[in-house]
Amino acid sequence: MISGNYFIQNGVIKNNNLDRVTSRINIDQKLSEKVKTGINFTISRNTFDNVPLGSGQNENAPILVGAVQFNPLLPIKNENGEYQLNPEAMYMPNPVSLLEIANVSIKERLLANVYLEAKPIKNLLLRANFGVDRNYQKMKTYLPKTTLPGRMQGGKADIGQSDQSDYLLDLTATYTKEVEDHTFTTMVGHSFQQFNWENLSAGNSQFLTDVYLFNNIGAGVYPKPWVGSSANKNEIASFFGRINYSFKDRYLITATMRLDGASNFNKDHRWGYFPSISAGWRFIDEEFAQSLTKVLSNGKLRIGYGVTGKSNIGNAAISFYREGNSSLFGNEVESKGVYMAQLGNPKIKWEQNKELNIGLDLGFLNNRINLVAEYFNKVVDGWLSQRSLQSYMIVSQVADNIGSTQSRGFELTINSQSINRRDFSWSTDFTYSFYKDTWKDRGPYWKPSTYSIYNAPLRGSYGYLSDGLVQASDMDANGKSTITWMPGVIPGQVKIKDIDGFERNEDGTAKVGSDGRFIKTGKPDGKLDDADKVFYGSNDPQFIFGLNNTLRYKNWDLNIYFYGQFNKLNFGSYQDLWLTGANGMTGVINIYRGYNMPTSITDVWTHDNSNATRPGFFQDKSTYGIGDFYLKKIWFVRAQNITLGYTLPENIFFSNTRLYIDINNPFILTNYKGLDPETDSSVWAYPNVRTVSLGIDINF
Amino acid sequence: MKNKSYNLKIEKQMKKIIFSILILMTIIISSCINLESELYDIISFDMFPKTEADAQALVTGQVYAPFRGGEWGVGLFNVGASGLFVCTDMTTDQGDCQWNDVVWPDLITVNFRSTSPGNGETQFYSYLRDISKMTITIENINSSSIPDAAKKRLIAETRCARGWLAYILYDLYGGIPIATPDQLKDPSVDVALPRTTGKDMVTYIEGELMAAIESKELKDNYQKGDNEYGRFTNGLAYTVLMKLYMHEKEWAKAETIGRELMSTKYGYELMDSYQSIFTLENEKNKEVIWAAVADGKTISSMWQAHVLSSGYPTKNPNIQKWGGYRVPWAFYNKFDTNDKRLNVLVGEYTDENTGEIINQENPGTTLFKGAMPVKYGEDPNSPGYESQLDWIVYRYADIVTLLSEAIVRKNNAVTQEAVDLLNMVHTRAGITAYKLADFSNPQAFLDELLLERGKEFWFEGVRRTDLIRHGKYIEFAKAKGSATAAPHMVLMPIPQWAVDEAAKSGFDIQNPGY
Repeated sequence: MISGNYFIQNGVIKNNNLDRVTSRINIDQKLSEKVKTGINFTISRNTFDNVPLGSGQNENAPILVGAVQFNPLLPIKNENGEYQLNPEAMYMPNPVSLLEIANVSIKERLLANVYLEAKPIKNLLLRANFGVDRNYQKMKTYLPKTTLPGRMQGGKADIGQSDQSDYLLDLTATYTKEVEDHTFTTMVGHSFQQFNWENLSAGNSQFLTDVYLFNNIGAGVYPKPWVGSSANKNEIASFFGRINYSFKDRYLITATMRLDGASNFNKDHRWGYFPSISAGWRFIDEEFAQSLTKVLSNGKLRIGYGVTGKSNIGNAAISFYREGNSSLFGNEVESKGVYMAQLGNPKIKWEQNKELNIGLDLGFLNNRINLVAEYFNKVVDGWLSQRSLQSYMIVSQVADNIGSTQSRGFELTINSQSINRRDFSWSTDFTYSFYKDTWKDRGPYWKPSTYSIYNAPLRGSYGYLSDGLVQASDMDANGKSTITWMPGVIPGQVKIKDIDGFERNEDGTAKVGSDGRFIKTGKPDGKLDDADKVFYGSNDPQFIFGLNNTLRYKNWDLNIYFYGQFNKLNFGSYQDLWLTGANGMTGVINIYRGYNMPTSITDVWTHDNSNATRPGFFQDKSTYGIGDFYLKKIWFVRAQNITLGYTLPENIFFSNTRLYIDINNPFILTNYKGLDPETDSSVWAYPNVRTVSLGIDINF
Repeated sequence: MKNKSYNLKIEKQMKKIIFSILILMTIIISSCINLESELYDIISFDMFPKTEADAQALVTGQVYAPFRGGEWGVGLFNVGASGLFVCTDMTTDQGDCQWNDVVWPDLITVNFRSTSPGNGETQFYSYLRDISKMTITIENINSSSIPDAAKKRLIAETRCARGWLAYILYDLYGGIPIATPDQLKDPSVDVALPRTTGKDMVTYIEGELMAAIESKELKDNYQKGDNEYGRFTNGLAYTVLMKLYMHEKEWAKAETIGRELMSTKYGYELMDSYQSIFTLENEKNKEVIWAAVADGKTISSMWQAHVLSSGYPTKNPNIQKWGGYRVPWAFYNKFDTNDKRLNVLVGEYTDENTGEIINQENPGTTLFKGAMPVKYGEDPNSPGYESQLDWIVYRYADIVTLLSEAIVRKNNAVTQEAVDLLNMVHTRAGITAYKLADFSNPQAFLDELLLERGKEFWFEGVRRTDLIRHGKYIEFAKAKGSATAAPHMVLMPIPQWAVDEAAKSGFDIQNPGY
């Protein structure tokens, strides 16, 4: 089989395009009755035109930040035909000029697999598979002299490429035996993977002309053009065996054993054993269930427990130096330095993920309604991560198996074929999932803050509690703050609560408890410090659902898909944070530079609008921050897709023709006031798109 | 039925066989499979240092590195928000900043806290690791097989660096924990160390600096053009030692060192004019005791970008102008209008775009916090924020004025010599010389000297220590409007993460008052 695919997509923002070619070849060949071979190839090439995105500020302002902040009263170009800069922020490039940056990235991937299968005797299948996965990436950038950063550097060209070659060898032997109602499958195998990576980069600046872009980097006359390269290699080997047993397809048991070795661990800790076992019981086939079959059409209970390993910590077992930290001596001659870059931990070993799964599959009314319920409890033991080292150690962290975490959750899927008539049908798919990831054991090296919680969620947030805005009534006659724990604050800044303090010894030092943490008094102490910080909650959504409805009436069909997330912590949208500061932008104070502000600026506190709900112009001068001022739990329900189709009656030319209109992301219901509660990665986020497509499917 | 059980038996046997084969295979193969990891762009610990060049590179990378003045975060003497001089001057009457980044308010308003979100006051504590790197470097050099002469020289440089860095941290935070080589080797030992107490700390710093000097391995000083310019010198070690003695109010010892540094063998001289100290043409001049060397490529200083504002005219149009740091008008106004130092502390300029005159009365958006501390000359080749001008860390005028102070304090009397020393910098600024008779008592002299040093060294990192030594740090902070300044703030707070770390070992290492 050979297939090809070509795809072009232009972004909502200019110069943000994607162009993809993929091709696939699958060839299977029977060499003899017992031997089969085959090859499959996938080649893809993605070419991206990139425009600077992100949340950088000032001279690094990418196109969206620049577009938001650039003074709209200024022309795009001045009378000399050069891009106009903002005289109050001369360091910020004109956002329109950023469209002249040439930035192309190319990602090529070649996936090739060759296999040989043999059945030397009955029931025995031998298979050898050899695979290559090559990833080649290249990024080319040119900052032309018409842009501010390009002008300052006389044009700047960069080329970077990386090359990844992964090899996979897989050998398996599978033996299947059926004896009456018993089926056995036994498999043993070995796999070996090698990962090779290397990169090369080069750049130059001070070009005579912009015409070359990045295609003639030798032409730049910068005195010290930059070059760089690096490379690494890693290997993983595994031996594994699996036994499946089933009786009448009613009782199913699978047991596996893996022995995995990873090259990045020290020799003594290189290999890990990972067993797993699972069992299934189709109780619907039991005799006692036969009386229920009018209602219950499917019933299966599944249970599984398994251990898998993770070794993705890099080459963390070894200590090494890197070159860098150069100094200049004599006539400013560069003297290369060598410094300790990593302190290795030879004791690190495989992280173990132990997971228990219990599942129940039920089908009702001849499987018109299907229900799948799944519970999981995953414990990660010896979590591979970095832990901090003492403040006097030569490096700040070292890799270790630092503790255990626990992940528990529940998933429910219901499919229902509610109505299924000749002219009308309606089916519904509903999914619901809920999970919680928490710490189970922090390990011996945990150095908690006062506010840390031992069993806290893995991704949680902590901070001060806010208490509205400081008002003029909080000031004494001399204009000094009477909020004793916040000396120096001024009206309009966020007021933070003093809720707790540390117990002190007679010499003024804080008392340390037997758990190695400072003891809190439980009473306000007139000071804002870590004693006043609280846990806000988990950053993860509490639950997620999806709902898909498909309706068909005669030749019409309609599909609507909704999904939603609930109770996710959010710290404020652009309406809030453009005013109080975010990502290094310091908020409403910048209005003097002509930066645009959100319409919510009318709610900003001023001396003559002291009932206003938002912090004032000098919030940036309060280093106590805004605490949980804008913190809220957000939810959304998104209509991801609505498709309406009409199928033409069969005619002599076409067997089947369907016309359709498809609206992607038509609407969203949410309590979030920013652009999009799901895709806003910052308050300078790329807008989420709404797509309307019209289509026709023709079958001959 | 019989047939079935027979088959099952075979299956069972098969299973056993397969399992045994599996286990046997895994044991055999796993023991002989040799998995390989390679990082091709690193140097492993056991291979280094083998040669003198290796050891030299190690000293460059771990001993000289903290004292660089590069771009953001590179070295103590960078001029950004992690620069030592900028951060400490911000806490005094000489510093202010027009930017709104979170690092500045707590420094400017002297609201020091262990949990300050900008880490302006706590960040330097991390240089503790560099002291330990130096300790390990000495071990590594000692145990290598390089020639003894090279060992001695490199260890002398390292000890000079260790003493200097320990002094800087001592000045900021008070006594610090100092680890022995053995305490640095095993990362599985996770115990906090107590802080070295004041007196032992002084002995330690003194010991390190004196060891460097007494080894006779360091040159007294380097002149422009010398091959080793930029390496540590006896002049530098003595300067740090003098600062330590001033800090400890050991006036006689400070005086001795001040006089030593005036000896001609060091070759230090004051430049004829103030602004010529800081220009590209006069880089590496005789007034410089030690500078963080920059070339604009490998290491770039970034001073002008930080202080110049849009519209301030420069010959090189590419120079980045962020317009941040300012010298408050209250301090600027203490200058005599004829003071030549005002040539580079700009209180008035004509906007090159609008032709508007910007000054104290019409500050616009560029001088609303104070005068522009231009100080350094232009780099004609700068493509933006990068500058090739060396950032001067210590200079001779500092020694001369400190010596003047030490003499007066030691004798508790103003002497003609002290007045003459002060006049060396005073008259260079084009102002009438002080006369002995101008000072009715030592305090009057010291007050004048403090002010003179202020006018001379804005943004050169001496003001905080000067004010503390003169007992004026907190008073001045309150005078500039700090609602939070308190006597304990003469020491900076230890960062909360380090305090929490020590709590785990059972004690509180925080400075009193925080």
